[in-house]
Amino acid sequence: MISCRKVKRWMIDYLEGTLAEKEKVLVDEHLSKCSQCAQEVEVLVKTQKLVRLKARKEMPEGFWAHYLPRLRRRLEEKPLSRLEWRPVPTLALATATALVLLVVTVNLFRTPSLNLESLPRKVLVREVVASNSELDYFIADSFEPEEIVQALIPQEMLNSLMRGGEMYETL
Amino acid sequence: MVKDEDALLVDRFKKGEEKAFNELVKKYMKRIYYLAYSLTNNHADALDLSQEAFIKAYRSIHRFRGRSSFYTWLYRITVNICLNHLKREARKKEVSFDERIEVAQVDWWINPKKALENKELQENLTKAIGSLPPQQKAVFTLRYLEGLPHKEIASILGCSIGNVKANLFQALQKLRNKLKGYVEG
Repeated sequence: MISCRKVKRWMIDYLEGTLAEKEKVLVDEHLSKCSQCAQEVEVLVKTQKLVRLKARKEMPEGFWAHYLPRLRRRLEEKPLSRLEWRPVPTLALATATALVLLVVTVNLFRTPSLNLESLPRKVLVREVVASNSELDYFIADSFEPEEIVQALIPQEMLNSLMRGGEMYETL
Repeated sequence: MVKDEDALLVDRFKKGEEKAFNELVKKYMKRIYYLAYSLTNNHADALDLSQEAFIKAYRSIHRFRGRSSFYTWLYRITVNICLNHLKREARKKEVSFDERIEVAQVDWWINPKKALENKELQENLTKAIGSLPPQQKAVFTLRYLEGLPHKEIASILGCSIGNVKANLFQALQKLRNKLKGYVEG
């Protein structure tokens, strides 16, 4: 006979009828011999049935008629934060790209650890845009500008850029 | 592959068609509102939080890649918003989870329809469910009040199916203790 502990482990599946037939037979066998577990199952089955009787107070139709207009008002009232997306892909792309350029440009001159000052601006812009495959980064306004730069420019490329931009001399 | 109705609406909205978002709201507002109500047990909070969920969905629709169904994604947003709200509320006031509900004997299993109309029973069920810890309440609500399968609940809550079952079992045991007057004797 299986243990009481095992019965407890299988209890939810047993109560919900999702226990495999083989295990169900073992639980039934256990319950026929263990009055404590049988009583536990009986009470839990009753609890299950009881909680399903929880009624829901239906809201009147008038409430639903105002739901969408109210939501639209809230959407209009609460302006988008500077990094949030608008449902127009081209606008989102333009906003995100402009933001990257701004952040990178600012950081060129205030992040000595990255040492990007020596890079031609045009080259840097091109690389940032080309490596910008995850626009989602711009939604998460919790990133520090340095993190955005690190995230957008692959480390290998960043290393090359920091070595002095030799790779672009031929461009 | 043929896209379902929701996926088509999401695509249209992503292309800038506001009407498509309105359609999604109309389709799901009742379910989302009642889900928020089941979790908060307060109509003002349910209205506010369900609308917060739609606002969040509106603003982050581009992040929805269609790996799950739209409504699973929307449920996930709603549950997260409600759980955060419940956690904030719980921090504000200490809630005793051990309070036992004293009830008069009601033969609810003989006449479930009558029990459904029994005001006292409904109040006690609300009180008992409301006293569950947030995670157990979420699992319980999604399973017993929304009727979602374990797998979908796991996906909404970002946990394993085993975790869902364990939370359900604990929730049922707590409810059984609180509703002793109804289920024992």
